[in-house]
Amino acid sequence: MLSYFSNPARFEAFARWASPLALLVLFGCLAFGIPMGLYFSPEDYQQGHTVRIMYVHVPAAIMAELVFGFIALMSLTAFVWRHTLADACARAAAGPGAIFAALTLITGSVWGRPTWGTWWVWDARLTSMLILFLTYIGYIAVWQMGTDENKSARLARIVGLVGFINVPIVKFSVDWWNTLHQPASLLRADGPTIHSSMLWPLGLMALAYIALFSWFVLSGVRTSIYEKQIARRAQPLASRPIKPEQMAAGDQNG
Amino acid sequence: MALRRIVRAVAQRDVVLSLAGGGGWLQGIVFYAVFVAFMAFAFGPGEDALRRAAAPTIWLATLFAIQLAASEMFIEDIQDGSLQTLAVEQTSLLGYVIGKLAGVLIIVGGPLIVAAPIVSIMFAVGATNLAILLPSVAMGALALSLAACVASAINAALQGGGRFTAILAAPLSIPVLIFGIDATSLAIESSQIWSVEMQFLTAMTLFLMAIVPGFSVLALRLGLE
Repeated sequence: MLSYFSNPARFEAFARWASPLALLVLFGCLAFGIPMGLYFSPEDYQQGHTVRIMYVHVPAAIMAELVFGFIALMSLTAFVWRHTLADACARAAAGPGAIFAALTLITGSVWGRPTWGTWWVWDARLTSMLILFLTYIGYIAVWQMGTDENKSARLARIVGLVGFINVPIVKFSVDWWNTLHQPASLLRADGPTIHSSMLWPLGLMALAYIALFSWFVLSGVRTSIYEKQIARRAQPLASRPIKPEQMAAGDQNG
Repeated sequence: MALRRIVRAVAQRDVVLSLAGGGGWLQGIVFYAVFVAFMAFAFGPGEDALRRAAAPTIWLATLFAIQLAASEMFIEDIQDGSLQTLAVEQTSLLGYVIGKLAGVLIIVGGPLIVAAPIVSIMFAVGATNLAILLPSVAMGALALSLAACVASAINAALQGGGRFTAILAAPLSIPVLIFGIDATSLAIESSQIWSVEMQFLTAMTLFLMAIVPGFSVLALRLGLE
């Protein structure tokens, strides 16, 4: 399947209907998810209205992790099969991924202030998300720093793969670090299992995030295809082979 | 074996060059000393605070000194053409990368490892046998050099500035730092050498040893194109 879409024309044909579909799903889910989450869903009996931050925060956190997996998969695809579109996919995914990670950190912080009484804790989850954010920054920096796009793409594959192998190690080491130094006092282990009135808006918002991400990636890849086409057309014509009739005409003139 | 010969030749060249000219081998240890002094000023002269800061100080100083030295470990060879020559001659650059790593460990890592017990004396650590923290610091120097190596290779291929190495190496260095500081603290406080933390640090080092040389060679090859 990955090889099937490596042809830019096929990808373009797919993106032509998938892109509007993603937007449709996005707005459809937002139209139901936001009112359900922000208005119709019940307050939490402990957290009150701050629980509504969850509808933005949890899907962002899931996406931040999934997107790096996507980048690693695309890096591997590009690494093994040399599909340039896979590089474009990974590149297009990096920006949204970094924003999802940042959004997770910011909304989590805003939620943590009234709930835990502090903006930031060196909790295992927070810390590993912060490091994931740093990994995104490093990955994006590789794309931005190079002058030769081909070379940047191939270096970005390395960073994407190494970063992905590193993420579970960071997660695991940070868990260890936190449990050693800090007793679990801030997080209640037995929160109430989530009720369907909260689960529905959460699912819709997660779907909206996925649709938004798909739309970003599709648009990003299409843009890169167009950019390459424009660059190809802007090349001087002299590099094209001369047709026989042109040569004959040239002879007559000369 | 050819690989061994290349490793030895590259490491030897780096060591001889750094000893020969301008005191390059002193750069790492001087930076280390300055950093340790700053940390002492930051924590104040109180013995309790200093004792608790001993292991973190040793580790941060090692991390920064190695990153400073390793951030440009490949750039010089690319600029003067010696890496191109090697790349043309050899089928693999693996020996070259391992030789460079060995060079960094000898020139920068060696003095830092020797300095670690001295720092722990200055930081009021009351342990009787100060050599006990050497295994963890040596292992950490190896792991941190590996993390800096792959970052430096990518940086060299991008022709970026030295600061970029730190950004790329940060996610790889964090697990090393977490386990390493704990391992050293335990060695100082309760004379445990082969603690669980030390085992994790060893595992992390072995893991980096497995992935770093290959990815570094890939990045360097790209940089040469």
